[in-house]
Amino acid sequence: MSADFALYCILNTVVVVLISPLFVSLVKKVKAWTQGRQGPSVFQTYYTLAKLLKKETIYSPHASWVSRVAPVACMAAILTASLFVPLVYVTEPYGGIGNIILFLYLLVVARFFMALLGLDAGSAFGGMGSSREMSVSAVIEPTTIVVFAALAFVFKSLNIFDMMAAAVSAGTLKTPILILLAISLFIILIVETSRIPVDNPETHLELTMIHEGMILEQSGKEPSRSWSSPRPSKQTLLMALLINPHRARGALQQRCLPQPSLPHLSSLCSRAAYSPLSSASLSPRWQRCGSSGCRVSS
Amino acid sequence: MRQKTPMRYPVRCSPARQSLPAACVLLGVFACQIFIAAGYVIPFPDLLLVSILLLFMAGLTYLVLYFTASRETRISETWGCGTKSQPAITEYTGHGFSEPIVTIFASVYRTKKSSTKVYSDKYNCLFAEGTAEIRLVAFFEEYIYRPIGTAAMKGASVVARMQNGCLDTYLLYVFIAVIGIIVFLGVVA
Repeated sequence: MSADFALYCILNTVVVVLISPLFVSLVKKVKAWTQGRQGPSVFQTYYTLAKLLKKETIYSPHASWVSRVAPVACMAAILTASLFVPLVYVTEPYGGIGNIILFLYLLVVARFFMALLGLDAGSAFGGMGSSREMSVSAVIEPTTIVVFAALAFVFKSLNIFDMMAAAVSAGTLKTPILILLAISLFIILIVETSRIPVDNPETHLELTMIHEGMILEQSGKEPSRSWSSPRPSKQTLLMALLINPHRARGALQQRCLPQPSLPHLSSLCSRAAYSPLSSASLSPRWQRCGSSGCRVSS
Repeated sequence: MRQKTPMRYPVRCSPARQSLPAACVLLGVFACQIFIAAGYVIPFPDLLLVSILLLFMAGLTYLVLYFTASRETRISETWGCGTKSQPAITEYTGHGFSEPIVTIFASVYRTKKSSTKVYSDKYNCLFAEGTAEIRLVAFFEEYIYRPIGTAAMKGASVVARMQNGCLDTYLLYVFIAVIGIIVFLGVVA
């Protein structure tokens, strides 16, 4: 494993964990604006997470070791999946990292553990949430597979790194098919992140909740409930997958592309601050393979 | 909240049953290495690195939470909408998972639901006993096996009619075959 890839792993994971709560707050803020309210601060989710971390964890007397292990396993699966979607810069993929099929499997692993978690507390509501989540998954997963297969077909690669590098080097939208795929991915994003009209993350009514039903028995520091829980992280990853391969380069087209090596870390960080969801720089491999639209910095 | 010790249910699983999932996981994780050792180079992702990263992320999550979050834990009764405790009968069963799928894909499975109810009072309010039944069309049997089987049976009945045991019929087949061969050879020549 190269130092460049190790740096990428650290940066990407930190960025996903740190910005995911921000996107949750932004969604709430925009929702409040559309309803004519001011809404909570964009940092409210961070305050809530800090509060939850101080609280005790309550387990059901029916709960087994699954309740202790599943939240961590779920979070680990999502964090590993986060390495498959470059948010800061695109580097040379290593091992199985970046494989789109493996990415989907990791998301399914996380969902599997969440469903187990819902069942483990012995509550009928947890089981109901798990059952509904699995039913929704059964409906949306064929769509997800078809969309990702289409992405792989369009970009002629199964690797997300290759897709994003191709999207950056293409300069414009690679093909109009991507517009249709973006619409499908947006629907998948809504379903996967339990948003209206499929689910409502605000509700705690037995008849309507799906995802909240599963984590009803979770409290305190459990990752499923608290710190950068899997759902916001998954939302960030899917948003990156929706935006990066589908956008034209726009302003980035005219920007110089720094070398993603240790001496240029500060440059990368400033680029990440400028566009945290964009693959703003390319590894030497992509610079060599890039189209004439790419200009490489000295 | 009253304190309760968690109930422990014995899990009995034979070593043979335990070894099967363990073999599945290990063969999956080391799939790339096994194929390379066997002399095959198959272009699929190296799962060993992903597995190591998965374990690393699990350890990292645990450690971060261990050092940053409260370590207090408490055992308390599951919320059950006012019921004192949750009996096993309230838990979702396998049918609870399959029923929504069956309902959503009812047009494919052609679901037929039927139920009978027996009430213990004359106003039909208090449910005493009953039966519920969900019938699904056997998809593979109806759409794959049965058409193939029907076609095979039709073909067999045609062959059975041809093989009627009459010498004259067989002579006729031979005659038709000879004529056919002569015509075929004449056309080809």
